[in-house]
Amino acid sequence: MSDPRRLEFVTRHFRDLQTIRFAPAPIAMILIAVAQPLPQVRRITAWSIVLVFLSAAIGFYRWSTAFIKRHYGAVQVSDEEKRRMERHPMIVALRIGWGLAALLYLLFPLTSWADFYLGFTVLLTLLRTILDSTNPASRRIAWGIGLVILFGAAPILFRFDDGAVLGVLAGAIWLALSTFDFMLLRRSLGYTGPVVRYG
Amino acid sequence: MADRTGVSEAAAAESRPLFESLAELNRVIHEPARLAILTVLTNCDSADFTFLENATGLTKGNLSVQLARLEKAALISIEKTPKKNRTITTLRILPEGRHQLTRYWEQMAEIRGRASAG
Repeated sequence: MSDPRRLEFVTRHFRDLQTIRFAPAPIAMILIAVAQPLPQVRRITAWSIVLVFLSAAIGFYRWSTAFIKRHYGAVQVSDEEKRRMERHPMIVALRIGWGLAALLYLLFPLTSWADFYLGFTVLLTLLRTILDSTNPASRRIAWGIGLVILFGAAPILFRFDDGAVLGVLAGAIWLALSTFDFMLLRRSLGYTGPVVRYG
Repeated sequence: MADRTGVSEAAAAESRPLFESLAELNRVIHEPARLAILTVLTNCDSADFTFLENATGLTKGNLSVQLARLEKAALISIEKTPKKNRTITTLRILPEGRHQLTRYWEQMAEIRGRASAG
């Protein structure tokens, strides 16, 4: 990636590359799925586990946010930049589908509509990154692989064990993409090119 | 746009010697470190000192000098906010800075085009 392109990318996507701060969420998805069927425990014990995990997750989020700010700094992007991908025709079409699925679920509460709604939400999240031309090819390909694996395996996995393996797969992909993004952030910021030599 | 002599600006630029066009480049921007700083700031609303230090790979001292130079040229604004035991330095590009940077890249594209055309 050339220097101006690298600087443009890392400045515009500085916050997007920090999803590692939400790592406890995919870890919870994996743990819940792995622990199926959940063992019978007293209500107080179950709530204690939930509270301890939530405290740890909030603690991790706050610590990682402060760590990133202290070591890598902070960037404020404009509202226009935040909404840039929302105007993409594919995202607009998916938003309509997403809204329809939500409406149908409210009118006829069937599980299949909820699945469609969830599918559209995941698809929207992944495609916003894949379709964004300001991202380097490596990031778009990594997210594309995640999308293909998830949506390729989902129909098969969902049938035979009611979504437990799918939970592990989704959590693992989320965690892998977050880690990949953080490594990309470190690599993009750690670059020492011609600017240093001539600066 | 045609001027009073009827010669368009583009045609006038075409007829200028290449070195003359190079000499017209903004010298404040035509320096890798300052160009990198402006490239970062033009892609966001604001950025802090730590981010610029990481993104450009410049040392603290060098970055401070280049920022002061850009502020003096009225291309960026520097805001210092005390927070706890330290000072947060926030940098923003000014409209003039954005305009000058766009103009710089246009001039560079023109020079490159003319040089490769021979």
